[in-house]
This record gives sequence, structure tokens and C-alpha cells, in this order.
Amino acid sequence: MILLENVTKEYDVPTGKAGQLVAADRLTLEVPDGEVFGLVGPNGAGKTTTLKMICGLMLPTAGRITVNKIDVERQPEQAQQYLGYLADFFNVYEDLKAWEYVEHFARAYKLEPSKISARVREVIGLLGLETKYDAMVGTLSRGMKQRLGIARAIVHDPPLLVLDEPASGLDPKARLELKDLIRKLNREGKTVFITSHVLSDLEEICTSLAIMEKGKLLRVGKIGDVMRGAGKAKRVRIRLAAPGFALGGWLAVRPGVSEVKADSLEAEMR
Amino acid sequence: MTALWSNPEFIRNLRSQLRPGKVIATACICAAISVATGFGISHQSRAAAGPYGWGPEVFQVAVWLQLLMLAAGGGIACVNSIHREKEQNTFDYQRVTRMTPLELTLGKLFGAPVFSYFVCLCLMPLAIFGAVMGGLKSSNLLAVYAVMLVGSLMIHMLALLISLLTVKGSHTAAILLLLAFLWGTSGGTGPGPSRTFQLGPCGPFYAAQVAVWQTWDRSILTTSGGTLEIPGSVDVFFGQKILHVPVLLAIDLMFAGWFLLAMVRNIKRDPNYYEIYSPLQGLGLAIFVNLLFVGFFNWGNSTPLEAQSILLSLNIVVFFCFGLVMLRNRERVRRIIRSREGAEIFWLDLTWPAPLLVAGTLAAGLLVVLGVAEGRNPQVEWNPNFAVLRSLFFVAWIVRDIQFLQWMTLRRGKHALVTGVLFLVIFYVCVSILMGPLGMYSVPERVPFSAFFVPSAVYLLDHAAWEIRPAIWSAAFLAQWIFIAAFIWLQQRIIAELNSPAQAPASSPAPAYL
Repeated sequence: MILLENVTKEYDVPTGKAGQLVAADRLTLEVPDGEVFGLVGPNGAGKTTTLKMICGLMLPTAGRITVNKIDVERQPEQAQQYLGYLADFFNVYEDLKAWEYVEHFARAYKLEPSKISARVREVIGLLGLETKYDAMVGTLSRGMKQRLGIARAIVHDPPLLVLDEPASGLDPKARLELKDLIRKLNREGKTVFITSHVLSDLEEICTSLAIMEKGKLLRVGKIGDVMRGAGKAKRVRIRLAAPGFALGGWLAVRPGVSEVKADSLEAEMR
Repeated sequence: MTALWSNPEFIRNLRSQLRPGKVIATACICAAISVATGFGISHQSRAAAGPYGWGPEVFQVAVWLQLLMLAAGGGIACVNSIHREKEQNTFDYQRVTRMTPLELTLGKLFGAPVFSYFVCLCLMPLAIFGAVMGGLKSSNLLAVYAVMLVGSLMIHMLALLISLLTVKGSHTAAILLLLAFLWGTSGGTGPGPSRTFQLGPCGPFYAAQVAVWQTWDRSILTTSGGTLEIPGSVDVFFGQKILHVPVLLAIDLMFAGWFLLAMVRNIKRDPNYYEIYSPLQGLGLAIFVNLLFVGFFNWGNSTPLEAQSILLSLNIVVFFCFGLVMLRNRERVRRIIRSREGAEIFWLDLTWPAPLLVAGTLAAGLLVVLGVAEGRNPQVEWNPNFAVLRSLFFVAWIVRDIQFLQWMTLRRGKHALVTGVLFLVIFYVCVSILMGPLGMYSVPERVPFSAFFVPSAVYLLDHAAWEIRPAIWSAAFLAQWIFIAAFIWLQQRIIAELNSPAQAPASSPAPAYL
């Protein structure tokens, strides 16, 4: 469904100093149909950049991306009809009603006019927003707006969903509901590409996982394999109660320690 | 292609701006204003009523209100539209839909100012009332609204383009730019045969002048070729007299078409890779504008030297804008380099945009020379060789300044281009101030030295001026090309830096790619 071939995205360092920031460094990745593929990494790893390039919102500096075998750069509109997108920081049209909002995108995705009304009701019902059908979007809570955003992303029944940190800002109950929804959509045959900086958000729902840091893919594979590999190395932070002990040197010679970063009071080891 | 009434973006704007409560309130307010205006003018003007009564005055007030609402208010709504969507992070969702760029653009063009259109509609009863009471001809009425609508369409199209290209924090500047353009297109170049260009005002506010014609005072009519004419109502294009209203409609529609082209090219693009026009399209627009300059120029009003000076001055503005449009930022250059995958970088990319600008400015300069040759008074002496030399100087200056800006744009920095423009402005201001006390404007022997820095002296370069210091004139001309070569060399150094392998810094700062 998604294929990235040597995809690179470079920027100038924002502070204006010398050097280039590589948000995506020769990424090569394939996401087969029917997968729930998670991309996890710390803030600044390059997840959102990768996602935006998949959606055709951002051009890569080099490389090629295809969605459903369509080159995203050369035929963006054809590729975009196969995907539904939800951004991490997003907004909605607050001066529309909930059904008007979903209907706007149903029209924008060129659903058959005669089927739009029924589809809008169906999607709003699926996301549990029936009681807010006629409510102005500006009056909805954060969680409801998030659900409305998902409604917008699935209204045209795309085979691929691209979700950027969909759980951010949601309460625990809403997170559970989101996970159930993603599982349900996957059971219906949809491929889901989801990013998060919290591994536990993805562990329960993903079938495949990729770990990303500083623009590079560290590990890619089935969820079980990746988690087993990731479990082999743990990162531990130690803080001294008082200075005066050469913690960094002491840790470096301990067996099983592969990496140490230390200052006078703290050390982080892997 | 979706019809306008089915366009999702148009429907969205219609729904959000014309809720029933707002529609009723607006209609009531417009009705109250209309009644008050009609009553007030009819009673105030009774004592001084002309042959047409108070009707035309009511009509003019209605037209002015509609113009302010549609041209200015609608224009500001268009400037706000895409800019606000980007700030609110809703624009990306429109970019990933199946709407084509043309559909999205047309939806915003007619949707963003839909409230302004509605208010104009609400004021129509007042306008029609005034027109009927004033005995306005139907052709006049048609002309007023044709000018208003087509002129406003052009303004809205430009406003949308400004909105698309505006970066965060420059919203106020964008609105001021639009209002300045609106003001600029509202005035003409003066009535009568002393006009520089034989072309009336081309903005939507000309509709207010058309609305006045019904009540003209015969004393303001001018005689032209034995017939009475309303000043500014007849244009002359390559010697042919044409009524101004059809000319205005044609010009406004053509410019609206150019702006629409730019919008459709860019509305769904990655903002880091906006390219307003392709090089050929940009050149085409520059040549089109020059055809208008040359076609409407009042040759009888100027000597050949003055004519060329005026036209070259206007072309500085045209090609400066063209050059700005053609500039490439670091992102684009980086992408071009990476797409070569290690192969040699094309010479055109290394010297961009100099070759394109040389071709364009040379064509425009020679077109101006041709225009002067054809349009001048044959009795006045004119040397075509110096005319060509002046055009070549013009080519060199434009390319020098734009190449400087291209180098500045490629340098690191948050607002590299803005910094470059600022430096250029400071340079010209300082040099212009210094040249006065040094006698470089007034002393004939020193005037050629000014040609190293600013173009003003060359505009009046003729055989006599050349003979004073031919070596200095030649050196000044050569110096421009040396400056151009220097800026290209600096540019190539930056391209070489971008071509080196990317290195992520040891500790990555918080990224700016959201």
C-alpha cells in the first residue's frame, strides 16, 4: 500500500547556524495492505515529516513515495483519493455544523451526490457523534473534535488511513475508544499508518512497527520481533544524591553497559 | 469540473457566512440604509435638482457603497481566506482532497467574498430605484455593473494570490498591498491629450465614474477630432480609438486570468516550492505588460528620449517583479541538486536566473526601441544606436540587482530575501544621497560616473553626453557585468555547499518541520 524508496528530507538548521537537519535520512519502507503500521519515535524524530510526505503535503528532497502504486509526487490527487489523513495539530471549521463539516469533505472527495447524506449519517454514527449532529463544531469538546476529524478522514472510505498522533490530548476512555475504532477499521480491511511518541499507545493495536530517531529507521518489522529486539537494550537514568562520585567512569566498565552519557550528577546508560 | 453551485468550497463559505439569522439582519440593515439614503437625498437635492433630478445621486451613492463592499471588503475577505486557514491548520485538509486546483481556487474566489456579494445584492433596490428615477439608460447601467463585477473579480483573484503567498506575520502588509493596488488602479493618468498613457483607470472604482456620465456637465466635455468626448472614456491603442469600458473589461479579465494561472499552479503545492509562474509564463506576462505599455503610450506627448525613459522605468518595476518571482530558495536548489543524484549540475541552475532575465529584459528593451521607432514624431531627431545602448544598460542593471537578490536568498537566514531587498534599498538611498554633493547629477563630466551605481544618468544618454566621457560610460557598462559575474560566483559557492553530503548536527535542536 505504501512504499518509500530512499526518501530524504533535509532542512537548514533553524537557528541559522551551519549544518543541515536531516528529518528523513534515506528511508526505505514498505507497508503492505491490511497492516496497522506504527511509527514510533521521540519528539523530533521525523515522524510527522514522513507522514506529510506520504500524504503529498510535503515534497521530499530526494527519493520516491508511492501509495497504492501511484507516485505521490507526480500524481498527488490520484494518490490522495486512497488515503484519509488526520494531523497531530489540527483544527476544524468552527462555523459549520458537525454534519456540514463531514459533508463538506464528502463533497470534496467527490462521493456520489445521492449517497452523501446517508454516508455522513453513517460516519457520524460510527464515531458516536449522533447527539451532536446539528451542533456547531465550535461547541464540541476536544475529544469530539478529534472524532470529527477521524470522521472526516474516513468519510470517503479510503483503503489507507494516515493518523498523526491521534491519541494526543485524549483522556484514557477516549484513547480506549480510539484503539477499538482503529481495530474495527482494520478488520474492515483498511490499512492504518499511525505515529506516536508513546510506544504503549501502539503496542496493543499495531501489527507492524518501526522505530525512528533523528531521521533514521532503527528497527522495522512485525510488532513481536521489534518489541523483543527493543527489550534487549534498556535505557536507565541514574541521579546521584550528592556529587563526588565518578559515575560515568564506574558505569563504563560495568559488564552489559553499551553506552554511557554522564555529567557530574546524572548518567544515562544503555 | 464541478459547477460553482456544487463546488464544496463555495458551499462551505455560503453556509458559514450566510446563516439565516445573519442574512435577515443584513437585509434589514441594508433596507434601513437604503430608505434613509433615498429619503435624505431626495429631500436634500430638491432645491438644486438638475435635469435628471435626485435619482442619479441616489444611484451614485448606492454604487459607491456597493464598490466599497465588493471591491474593498471582498478583497480583504479573499486576503484573509487562505492565510487564516494556514494559521488554523485547516488548509492541509483541503490540499489532500480530490478537488482539483481549479475547483479549489474558484470555490475560494466566489466563496470567500460571498457575504460582500450578498450585501451588494441587498443594495440593488436602492441602486435600481435611483437609476429609474434618474432616467439612466440601460446600457449605462449594464456598463456600471460590468465594470464593478469584472474589476472586483480581478482584485479578488489578486487578493487570493496574495493570501496564498503570504507568510505568517505579514497579514497586515498583505492587506495594505491590496489596498494600494486598488487605489493605484482607481486613478487614471489624467484626462485629456496630455496623458502619458491613453488609457483610463482599470480598476473596479471606474464604475463610479461611469455612473456619473448620465449627469455630465457639458462644460467638462473635450473636443477630440471634431467630436465631443467624456474625458477618460476613450482609449487609444496603437493609434486606434476604442471605448474605454470594453478595454477595461478585456484588460481586467486578462489579468484575472494571469492571477488564476498562478493560483492553480500553486494552491496545492508544498509551500516551500511555490513557483508563481514557470519561466516561460513569467516572460509571457512581462511581454504582455510591455505590449500594453507600448500600445497605449501617448507618443505625441513625449520626445523619443523621454518616451524610452518612461517605458524603461516602468519595465524596471515589471522585471523586478518578474525577477523576484523567479528566485529560487535553498529548499528548491537543494531538491534540484539531489534529483541529479551526483551528476553535474546544469549550467542554467548554476547561473539562475541571469540567462532568463537577460533574454526577457533584452526582448522588452528592444520592444521599447521598436515602439519608439514606430511611434515617434518623425520630425524629431533620434539616434537608434543610443536607444539600443540605453536598453542594454537597463538589461545589465536589472540582472545585477536580481542576481544579488538570488545570492542573498540562498544564504542562510530566516528572512534572507527580505534582508536582501533591504540592503538594496539602503544601497540606492545612500548612493542617491551621496551623488548630489559630488555633482554626479549636475556636472556633465561627472554624470557618467553615476552609471556605475544607478541607472538615472543613462536614461538621458545621447551622443553629446557620450562624447564627454566615452571610456567611463563603457567602463560603467562593463562593471555591471563584472558585478553579475561576481554574484553568480558567490551563488555557485552556496550551491557547492548544498551539494556536499548532509551532516546531521551532533545534537539536533527542536525541528521546525511541523
